[in-house]
Amino acid sequence: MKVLIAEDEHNIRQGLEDILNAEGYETVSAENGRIAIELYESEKPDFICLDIMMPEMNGYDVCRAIRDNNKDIPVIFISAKSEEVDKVLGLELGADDYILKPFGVKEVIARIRAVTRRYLQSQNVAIKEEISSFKMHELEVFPNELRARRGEKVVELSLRDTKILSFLFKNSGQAIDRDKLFNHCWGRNYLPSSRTLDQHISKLRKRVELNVSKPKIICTVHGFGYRFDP
Amino acid sequence: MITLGWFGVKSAQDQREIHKHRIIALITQNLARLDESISELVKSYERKLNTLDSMTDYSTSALRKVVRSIPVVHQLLILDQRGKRIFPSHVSFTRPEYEFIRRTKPFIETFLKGSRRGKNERRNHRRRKRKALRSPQTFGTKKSSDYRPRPYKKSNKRKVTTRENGNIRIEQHLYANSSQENKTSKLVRAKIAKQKIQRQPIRNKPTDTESRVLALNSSTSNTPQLKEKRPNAELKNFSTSADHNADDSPIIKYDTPNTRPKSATTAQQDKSTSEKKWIKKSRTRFEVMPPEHYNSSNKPARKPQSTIVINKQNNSKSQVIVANTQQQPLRSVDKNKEKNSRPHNTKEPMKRARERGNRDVPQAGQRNPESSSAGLNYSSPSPSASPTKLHQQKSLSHKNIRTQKLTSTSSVKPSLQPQTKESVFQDLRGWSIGFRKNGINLIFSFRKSDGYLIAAEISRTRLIADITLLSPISKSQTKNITQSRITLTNARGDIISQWGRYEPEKNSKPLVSYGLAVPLNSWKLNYFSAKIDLNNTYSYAPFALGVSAVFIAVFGLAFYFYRESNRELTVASQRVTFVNQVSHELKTPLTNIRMYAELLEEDLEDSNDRTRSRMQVIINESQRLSRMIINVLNFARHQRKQLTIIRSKRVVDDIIHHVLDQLRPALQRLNIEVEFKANASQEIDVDTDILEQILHNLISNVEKYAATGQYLGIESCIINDTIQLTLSDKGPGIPRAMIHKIFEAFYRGNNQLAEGVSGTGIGLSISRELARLHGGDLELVNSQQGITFKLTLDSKAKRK
Repeated sequence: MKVLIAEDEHNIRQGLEDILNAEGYETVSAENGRIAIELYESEKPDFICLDIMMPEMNGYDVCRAIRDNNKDIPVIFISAKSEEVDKVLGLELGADDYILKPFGVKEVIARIRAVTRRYLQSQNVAIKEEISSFKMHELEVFPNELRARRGEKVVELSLRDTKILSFLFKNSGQAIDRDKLFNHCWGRNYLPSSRTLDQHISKLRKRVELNVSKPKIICTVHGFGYRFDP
Repeated sequence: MITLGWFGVKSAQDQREIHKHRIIALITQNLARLDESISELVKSYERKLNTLDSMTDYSTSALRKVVRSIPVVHQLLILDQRGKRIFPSHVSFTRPEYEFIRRTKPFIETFLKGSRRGKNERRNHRRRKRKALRSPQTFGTKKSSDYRPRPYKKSNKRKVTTRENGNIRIEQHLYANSSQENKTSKLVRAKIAKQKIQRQPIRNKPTDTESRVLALNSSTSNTPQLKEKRPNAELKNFSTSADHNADDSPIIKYDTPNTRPKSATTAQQDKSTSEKKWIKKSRTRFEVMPPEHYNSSNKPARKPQSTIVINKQNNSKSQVIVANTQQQPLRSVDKNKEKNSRPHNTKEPMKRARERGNRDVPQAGQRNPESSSAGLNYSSPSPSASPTKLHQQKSLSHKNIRTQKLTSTSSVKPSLQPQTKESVFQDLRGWSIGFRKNGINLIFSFRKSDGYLIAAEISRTRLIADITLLSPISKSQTKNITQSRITLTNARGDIISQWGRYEPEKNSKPLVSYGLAVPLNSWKLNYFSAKIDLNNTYSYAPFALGVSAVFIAVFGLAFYFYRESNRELTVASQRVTFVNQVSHELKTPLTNIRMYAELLEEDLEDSNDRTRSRMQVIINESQRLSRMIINVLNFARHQRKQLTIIRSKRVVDDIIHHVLDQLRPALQRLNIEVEFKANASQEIDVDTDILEQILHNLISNVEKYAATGQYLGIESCIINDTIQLTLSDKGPGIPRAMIHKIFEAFYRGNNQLAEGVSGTGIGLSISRELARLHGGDLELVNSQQGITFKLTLDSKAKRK
């Protein structure tokens, strides 16, 4: 999924890019509203995060322009304007959520996941080939819901997590090369870093594995990559 | 209060009354001063005109020079002893002079009563005189009743004579000349006595009736006056002619009263004739008249008067008087000598007089040229210059009586008519007021010692200019110039002159009006003032004022309190706005701190606990800071009544989990055990922000004040679309006395409890407000240990 981030403050923009990248989204970022519109037309993103107070063209106008074009694309406002009027106006323009600054990373992730879930479920037809759910031992994964379930326990998954799990599930029993996994789940544009993959896998294991020291779902193939054994 | 106000106002009103009278007196005084200075001005004109007394040269060119040399004089009129006009000349006159003659004709007429009458009257007059001569016995009684009934009656009126002639009115204010008393007859003395009585009111101020009459007459300008006259058949014609041809009217008017009343047709004819035609007419008439005029006055006196002269010559003093006052006898003496030589040219006598005056009479100006022509040599000074008036007066009266006796005894009937007439003329010197068109026309007239009547028309513009130059406002009152105005209005109410910068409203009544003294008695001084309004009706004013005072007091108090509270509100709102802006500005840096701290924490996965815990502190504090900012902002918004609820479908338990996740590090640090009984797993309409904020506030309160209990119990359930949450701790609780206070803003428990604990004191307050806004409430529930809060939130939108 490609996300367009429109934010004039450089650091926040960078931070949001990092968060979204870590979640498994591709990002394109614009520093003002006009560029945001241009990027929307050129990059065709699946998801848009908008600041409201931006130079040249404010978030409301960008949202309006985009909504005229596409009624379904998810839009999230991320703004310091905490007045109800602003929220109401943003939501009435067709925004899917409104995140107030200062935001926590987890909040942003949670909200983006929520919006993504709704988007994926509404786009169910488009990604029909994908299985609505699959089982990896005791863990039942719902890729469209970005969730997994182990008995009663619900595990929140990121977009990337589901990608990794579904990639491993599709190639069950096969050892998957680290580069192959990386390219599939992170994209080719992403700068490869061995640590990034390993860190992410270890985080994911903590959530999905029953026993992290003896992983069953994501098994390590030493010197090569990872493997799921059904 | 009302009675107090009433009494206060009442006494103030009394003082106001006194003050009012004082002010009016002051203003009146002021106006009187102005009036005085105006009469002073008029007197100065008189003095100037009196210098004409010494005039000897009656040639047209010389007189024109005189007119030019005295700026006060607009036009000059000189009639000789017999009422014949010398200047402006009959032969050559300029256009202004001609107009002047026209407009002064009524005036002249008043001076020529009897001498210039219609043909018939003159004829009758002559007949009567002949009769009188034939029957001398009846002279004594008949004379006064038949010949001279008018002068006696008129003499009374002459003081203030009003004559109306078309749109021209003449009013005469004549008073006895200082010199006249020399030759006072009984008659004249009586006149003077009457004058003296009447002079008083005239000098000071015109009597009410007079001024009123003036005001009335002049206020109804030309046309209304004419209308009034319409019923009068005789005058009707003239008035119509005046209507149609204003230029012609004076002449016609002048002529008609003395001639027989013209019929309407003749009047029409007159009107229809061109101007030139009537000029011609008048010219011919004037040319013809002088000889007639002379003859008419001379003929009856021709025969007998030599005897009088002779008689009078017995006394040198009386000779002078007789010579001066009674020219006709003298002339009759001359007549025998000069009868044939006298030309019918009007200029001739003047010329001769001049010649003689230059030749052998050093004080010719004071003498009658005729008398000198009679060969009588008078060396004594003129009567007007005589110093011993009283003495002379007495002796004269005797002598007059004697002369009368003489005449009667000598059975000669002298023409008393010219005698009395001329004495009247000569005695009187003063102002005649004509009303012409829209203005006043002042004529100062006097008879010179040589018997010439001089009438000077005052230049109206000069007069007004001189009056305007007078400053009516004394220096001490210069401050009031802007607030007051004094106007000088004529009888019609037109403003002639004004002083002061205050602009009175149209049709506003003047504060004080003051009529001017004679001869300007038709004019009025009006005083307008911006400040003083004395027209308040006295009866209900105090009550109204009292009531209004009370009202003002009440409204003043109300306004004061309103302003006070408003001021507080303004200050509060300013504070709120400031806080709002500051918190807003804090958000961007805080966002960065928090976000990067959290991102960093994720990267610190593998690092040791120490680094992680330090990182966690940054994260927790930035979270707390952002919560505080939101709290403050919400509070500010609540103060401005701008808080609104935005509901969305959410699972309440998820929100609680989320909040607990956020606060868990702090709770764990304090060893607070969290017990969460989640019974609200279904989606319900709720404002996530508000619920989160309330939970944050309540849980952080536990952190702050109930950490010792080491317990936090949360229970959630949904009953009938209402979310119910119960939060309890096992802390020290709240003293009973303080229970009702904890929801007040900025109240922070007791000092011991709050000591060393950070907080703003608005947490519970804003939480309750938010809960109420959400259709629920936040209450304190009785519990055995610690504090238990019960939070209810309505999922259905029913805002209070």
